[in-house]
Amino acid sequence: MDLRNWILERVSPAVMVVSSPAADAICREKNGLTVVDLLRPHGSFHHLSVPVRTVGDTSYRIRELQLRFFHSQTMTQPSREVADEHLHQLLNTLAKEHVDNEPTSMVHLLRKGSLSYQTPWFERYRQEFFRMLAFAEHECYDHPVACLYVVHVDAEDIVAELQQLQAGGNVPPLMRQGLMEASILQHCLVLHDATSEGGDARAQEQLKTLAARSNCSCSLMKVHVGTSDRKANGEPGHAGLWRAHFQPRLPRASAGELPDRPEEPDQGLGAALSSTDLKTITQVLEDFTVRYLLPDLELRLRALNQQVLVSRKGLRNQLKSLWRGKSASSTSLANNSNNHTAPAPETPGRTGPTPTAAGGQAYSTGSMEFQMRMLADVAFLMQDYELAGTTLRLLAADFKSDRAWKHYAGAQEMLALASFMAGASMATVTAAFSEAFSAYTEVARAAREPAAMVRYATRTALMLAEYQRAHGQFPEAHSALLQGYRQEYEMGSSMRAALLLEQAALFQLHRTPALTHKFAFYIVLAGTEYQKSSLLRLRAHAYRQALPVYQGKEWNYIKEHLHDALGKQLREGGEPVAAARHFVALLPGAFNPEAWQAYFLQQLLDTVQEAAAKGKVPPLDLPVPEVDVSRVLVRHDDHICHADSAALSQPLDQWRLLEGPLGAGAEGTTSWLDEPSSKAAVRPPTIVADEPLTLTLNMSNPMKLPLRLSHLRLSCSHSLCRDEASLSQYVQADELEFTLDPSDAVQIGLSVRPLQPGMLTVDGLEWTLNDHVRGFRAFPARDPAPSRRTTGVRRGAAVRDRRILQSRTFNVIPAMPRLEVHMENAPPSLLQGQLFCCRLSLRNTGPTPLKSLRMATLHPDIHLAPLDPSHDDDPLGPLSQSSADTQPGAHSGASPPHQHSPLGQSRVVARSHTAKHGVHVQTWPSELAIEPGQALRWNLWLHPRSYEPLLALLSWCYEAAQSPSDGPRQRLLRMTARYDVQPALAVTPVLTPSAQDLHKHLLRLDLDNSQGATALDISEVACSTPGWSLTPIADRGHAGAAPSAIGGSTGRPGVQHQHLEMPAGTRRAAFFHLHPPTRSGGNVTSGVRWMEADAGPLAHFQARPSHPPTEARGTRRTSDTSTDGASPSPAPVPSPSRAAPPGSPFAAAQGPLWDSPNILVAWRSHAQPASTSGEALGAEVPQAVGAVHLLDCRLQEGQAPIRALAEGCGRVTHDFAAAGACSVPLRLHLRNCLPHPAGLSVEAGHMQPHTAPSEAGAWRCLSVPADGPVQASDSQAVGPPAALDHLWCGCACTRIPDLPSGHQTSITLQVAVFAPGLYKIADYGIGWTTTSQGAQQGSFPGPPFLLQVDAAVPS
Amino acid sequence: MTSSALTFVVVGHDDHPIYEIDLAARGDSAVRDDRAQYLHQFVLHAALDAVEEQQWRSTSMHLSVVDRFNKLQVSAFITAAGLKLLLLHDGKSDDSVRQFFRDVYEIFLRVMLNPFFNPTLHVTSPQFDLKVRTIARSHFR
Repeated sequence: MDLRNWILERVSPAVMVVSSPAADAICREKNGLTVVDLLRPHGSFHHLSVPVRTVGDTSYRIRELQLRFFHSQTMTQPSREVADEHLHQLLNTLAKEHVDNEPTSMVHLLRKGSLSYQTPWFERYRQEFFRMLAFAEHECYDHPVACLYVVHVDAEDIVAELQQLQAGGNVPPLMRQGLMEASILQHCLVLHDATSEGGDARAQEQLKTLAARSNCSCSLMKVHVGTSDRKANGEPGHAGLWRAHFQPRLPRASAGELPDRPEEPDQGLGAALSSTDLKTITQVLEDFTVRYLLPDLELRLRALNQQVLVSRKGLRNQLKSLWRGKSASSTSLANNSNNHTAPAPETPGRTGPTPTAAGGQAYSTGSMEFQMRMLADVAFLMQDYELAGTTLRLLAADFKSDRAWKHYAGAQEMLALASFMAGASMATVTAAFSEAFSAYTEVARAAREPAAMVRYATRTALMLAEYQRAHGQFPEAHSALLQGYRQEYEMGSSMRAALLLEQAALFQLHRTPALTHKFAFYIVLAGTEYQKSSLLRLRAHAYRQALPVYQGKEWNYIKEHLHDALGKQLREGGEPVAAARHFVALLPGAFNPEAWQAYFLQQLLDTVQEAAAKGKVPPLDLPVPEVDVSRVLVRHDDHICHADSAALSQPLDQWRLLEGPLGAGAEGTTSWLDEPSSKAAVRPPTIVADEPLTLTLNMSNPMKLPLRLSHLRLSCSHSLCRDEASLSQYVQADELEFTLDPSDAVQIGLSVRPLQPGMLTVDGLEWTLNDHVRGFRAFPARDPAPSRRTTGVRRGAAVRDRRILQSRTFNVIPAMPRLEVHMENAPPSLLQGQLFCCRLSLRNTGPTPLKSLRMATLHPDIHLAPLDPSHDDDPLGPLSQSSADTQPGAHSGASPPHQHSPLGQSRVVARSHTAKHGVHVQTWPSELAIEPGQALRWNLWLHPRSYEPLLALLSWCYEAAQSPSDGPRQRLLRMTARYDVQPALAVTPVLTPSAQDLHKHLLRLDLDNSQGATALDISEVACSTPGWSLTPIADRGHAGAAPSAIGGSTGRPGVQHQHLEMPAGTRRAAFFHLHPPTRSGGNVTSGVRWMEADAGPLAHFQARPSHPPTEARGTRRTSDTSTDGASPSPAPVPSPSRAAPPGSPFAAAQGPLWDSPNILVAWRSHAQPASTSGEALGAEVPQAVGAVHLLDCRLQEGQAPIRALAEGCGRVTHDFAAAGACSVPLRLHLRNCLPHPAGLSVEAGHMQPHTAPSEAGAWRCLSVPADGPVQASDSQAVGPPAALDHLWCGCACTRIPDLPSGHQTSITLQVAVFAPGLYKIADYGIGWTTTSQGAQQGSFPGPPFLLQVDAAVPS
Repeated sequence: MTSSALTFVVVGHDDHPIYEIDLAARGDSAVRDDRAQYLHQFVLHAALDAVEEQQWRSTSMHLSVVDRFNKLQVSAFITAAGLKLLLLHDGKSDDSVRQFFRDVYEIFLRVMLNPFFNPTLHVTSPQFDLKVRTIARSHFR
C-alpha cells in the first residue's frame, strides 16, 4: 500500500449523515443498504479541479478528495475492551481464512528472491485497529466537517421533517460534550425515488420549498431510475461495490458502523439501483463537495487562522504568553454547549485543559488549543500541509508547556504526517513520530488505564514502521515495531505484541543480507504471544515459518520445542496425522534421557492410534531405527549369476578373462540378441523373474529404548500392477520381525521376488514400529549405472560400485534356467599338497532345462575330472584301496547313484582344453541337458601346492534348452572355491654330481614337516620324467653310507622310504641316486607306482605347475597350445624360477643331458587336522593323501661344468730300497657337461688342493674313515703333504683340444712318491675353454686321490 | 557459579552446534529446565546473525557482546577456522569473558589438531567438558 494514498484515504473529511426514517426505509427495503452505505462508494473524487485559497495570497487546486460518511450516532470510539474483543474475533476469522497447514515458507521465498508479504491478516488488523482508535477527543481530523441531512421527497412537510432531524439530538457524544466542533456545514439531501408517485415535478417543488424555508443548502438526489444491471448469476451488477465498503460491526454503534445491517433483499444488494443511479449519486456528492463543502472549509480555515493569528502568532502574543503564563492568559472558554448549530463567535484566548470523564485532559471547542488543532486538521484536509505543519508545531509547544502529553503526542503524530505529505526530510518525520511515541508512552505510564493509551503508541509505531519500510529502512522499522511490542507486552496485550513481533521478524528477512536467525527467533516469539492470546492457528503459522531455518541443524531443544508444540496443537485440533509427522521429528532425541524418549515415543504411538481410529494412516518417515540408505548393497542375478558374495567381490577383469573362451557375453546386462543402442547408458539393471532380488542394509537403534520392528520388508511396485491389492500376484516380498535393543546395530538382508516380467521398482523400506506406527524410508533415487562404453570410469571403480544399489528400477525378464553348484563334501581346510576329490552337484533350479554346459578356470590347483563319477577310473590306484573306507569322497565308487541323474547309463566325457591365457576350459556334450530339479554330479580335484589360501574362480556357462522369445540365451554362473591351507610336508631337493660316476647325480631330499600339525607317512618318492630313474642309496648296497637324518633320527633306506614316518614338527633327509637317461634307453623305476603320475589328476597338476595367485590375474601368458582329449599327455613345463640365468654356461642347455627331471614325493596322513570351525576337537577325520611335486630338478649353477673322476691303484707296495721313487699311474676321466664342445687342459703340480667342501651337496666333508682298510699311520701325512712328498712325472700339462658336449675322455698322469705313507693327491687342476657361443673359460681343482704306499718288506 | 544463565556453545560450519554445555550451576542436573534451555538455544542461535555482522567489522577474534535479549547477553569469539564460540550470560564483565574465551580456545585448538576432527561432528570428549567447566569456574566464580 502506498503510504501517501493511505494517508489521503485515512485523513479525509468526515461527513456526518442524519437521515429521516422514510429516506432510510427506501434504501433498506429496496436495496438492503443504509443511506451511508449508499453514499460511501461515491465519496472518492479523482478528477476535481477546485481552486482554493487558504491563508496565503496564492491559490491552489484540489484535484483529489475523499469523503468519509458516517451515521451521526456512530461517530464515537468504542471502549478498549470492546475494540480488543472485536479485533480478536477478526483475527481469528482472518486466521481461518488465510492460514494454511502447509504455508509457503518465507525463508524459501527469500532464497528464491520472491519474498512478499505473506501476512494478509496484519493488513486487515491494522486497518481495523486504526478504525477503533478514530474519533478521539485529542485529534480533530475524524471530527465531522459537515452534516448531511437526508429527507424523503414524499414527506408531507419536508421542512418540518428537516427541522425535526436537526433538533433530534442525533449527534456524536463528543459533540454533545463540547469536545467536537458543532458549528459545521449543514446540507439537506432530498432523496427522490423515481418509482414513487408524484414524479419529478413534485420533487422539484419540494426542493424549492425546502430551499426557501430552511437554513441550509439543499440538493435533489433521484434514485431508482431505470433497471439494475445483472450478472449472469442474477446478482446485481454493483453488489460487490457496496459490499466492498462494508465494515465489520461492533455490538454498539461506534467506530463509524451501526451494530446491525439491513437485511439483504432477495434480489441482492442494490437491486433497485442502476448505473444511472450511481452516476446521479456521484454527481450530487461531487456537487455538494465543490459547491458547498470546500468553500465552507476554506472560509472556516481562514477564520480559524485569523483567530490564531490574533492570539498566538506574532512577537506580541509570544511575549504576552511568556509574561502572563498560561494560568493567567485568559479565562476558560470552554463551551459545553450541546447546541450543534452554528455556534456564536467566541472570543479567542488561551485556556487550559479540562479533566475528562476518562480521567485525562480535554480542551473544549472554544479553547485556543482546540481552535489551533482544528485549524491544523482542516488545513490537512484541505491539503495545505505547510499550514498544518506550522500550526501543529506551535500547538505542540503549547501542549508541551501545558504538559498535556496526550494532545502533545497527537499533535506530534499529525505533525509527522503533515511533514511527510509536505515532503519534509526523513529525519523530521521520524523525529515527530518518535516524539509522539515517547509522549504516548509517557501518558500511558501515568494514565489510569494505560493499556488504552498504549494503543495510540502502537498506532504511532505502526505508522512509523510503515513509513520506514516504504523507504527501505527495515532495521529502523524493525526497531520501531519492537518498541511497540515491548509496550504492548508490558500491558499484557499479547495479540498486538504477537502481530508486532511477527512483522518485526519479517522485516529481518527484508534486510540485506537477510537475518534469518533473527527472523526465526522473533517469529517464534510471536508464536508464543499468539498462544497467550489463544490464536493458535497463527501460532502454528509462526512456528512453521521458523522450522525451515532450524531444519537440518542440530539445535535440538529448539526443534523439540517447535515440533512438540505443533504436534500437540494439531492433535487437539483433530488432525492426528499431521500431528504425528511432528511427533516423528521428536525422535530419536538421542540427547534426551530415557524417560523423555519414552514420553515422546508414547505420544507418537497414541497419536497414530488416534489417527488409525479415524481412517488409514499413511506410512511415516520414521527416523528410528536409523537406516543407512546411502549404502544399500544389492544382490541380483541377470544373465550372470554369482554363487556367493565372494564371487561378486572379485575383480571383473578376472571373470572376463575366464569367460572369454566360453564365448559368453559378459559385457553389461545384454546378450548378443540385444541390438546396440545409444540409450543403453541409462537402462536399468536386469533381473530374472522368479529369482530373488536381495538388498542388504545396515540398521541401528539410536534410542535408549528397545524398538520392536515387524512387517519389515521392501516396498515395491510393478509396472503391470495397477492397484495395491493385486501386488502380491506380481511381487512376493519377504518380511522380518525382530526387536532392536538400545544402541544395537544390525545388518539385514531383505529379498523380493518378482513373479512376472515387467519393470520392478523398489521404492524403499517399510516396517511397523511397536506394532502401531508404519514407517517408510525411501531409497535415494540415483541414476542407473552408466554403461562402460560411454564413460571413462576406471574398471576397478566399476567393480567396487556394482554391489551398491544404483537404480531403484529393475527390468524383469522371463524366467531362465538357473544352475546352482554345490560342493557336497567341501573340506573345512586342506593340507599343503593334499590331493582331495570334491564332489560337485550341478543342479538346475530354474523352471526350464539347460544344456551346453561349459566351465572355465585358471587356477592350477584345481582340476575337474574328465569323466562322470560313475565311470571315472580310480585315480589313486593302490592307495585308494586303503583309504576308501575313510575318504569316501576320494573314491569314485563311493558316489551314490542319483535317482534323477541326467547321465543315464552312457559314459559322459567332458572335453577339456587350455585356451588363451592358460584358461582351462571343460566342455560337456551339447546334447547333455539338465532338466529342472535334476542334478549332475562331478568330481573336482583340489591340490593346493603352496601354503596360502586356495582361492579358485570357476565360471560356468550354459544355455536354455528352449530358445527364449526375448532375453539372453546364455547364462553364466560365477563361483569361487576358497579353502584354508595348512602347512604340511615341504621338500627341498639338493642335487650334486656323483663322485663315483660321471653320469649319475646324488639327490638329497630335505623333508620338512616342522610346520605341520599332522603326522605323515612318506609313501613314495618317484621320478616322473621319462628316461630318468631314481634309486635309494641303500639299494646299491651302500649300507655303510646310510644317510644321516637332519632331524637326528635315522631314516630307513631303500624301498622302505615308502613308509618313512614324518611326525609333526620333524625334519628328515633322504638320499637317492638320480640316473639320467642312458643311451640304451634303459629305465629303472624304483618302488611301486601307487599313483598314476602320468595320467589322472596328478598328471594334470604336474602339467600345470602352481604359481602365485597374483599370476592368475590374467597377466601371465603361457603357450597357446591346446591338446584335445580326455587324458592330456604330460608336458613338463620348465619352471621359470629354476631356469638358468641367461649368459651362464647353462643357458643354452638342451637335450637329454640337461633335461631336468620331475620328482614326486607322495605322502598320506592318518588323520587330517580338525576344522577350526565346526568340528569338535578329537573328532574322527578322514585320511588325507598328498604329493609334493619337485619339478625341474637341476644342479646348482656353476656346479661341475666338467666332471672329473680320478682312478688308480689306491694302495701300492713299493720297495724303496730297490728304487727310491715309486711311480704310480693315475687315470683321470673327464666328461664335458657343458652344452658346447670344450677344450680341456690338465695341469699337474700347480694347483692348490681343493679345500672347499662346505658347499651344499649330498656329501659332507670327508673325514678319514676310522674303520677303513688303511690305518692312518702318520697323521702328518694326512692333509697337505709337503711339497716334496710326491712329484708329477711325465707331461705336466695335458691338453685336450676339443671334447664334444656329453662326451668323455681319459688321460693318464704319473705321480711319484719317495717314501711310504698316505698321500692325498690333489695338487692338479683342470681348466676348460669354450669357443662357441662366446669364449668362456674356467678351472677347478682336480678330484683328490688318496694313495697309500706301503714299503715292501724284504723277503 | 551462581549465575542463572551461562551457556557455552561452539558453532561449526553451517550453523551446526558442535559443542554445547550449560555451565550454570543447578541443583539437580537430571532435571531439565526446558524453558531455559529452549530460550538459551533460541537466543544463541539468533545471535549468529549479529556475529556474522560484526566479525567483519573487527580484526579481533573476541567480539565482545554481540547480541542481547532482555537480560541475556551473548558474547562471541571467532576462531581462525571460522568457528564461533558463543557464551550466553547475564552480564559478565567483558574481561572475564575474554579470558574465558582465550583459555577455552587454547584447549579447543587441541581438539581441532586431532586429524580425525571434523567441524561438522560433535565434540563429545568428557575431558573437554571437564576442562571447560574448570575454566568457567575460575573466571566466573
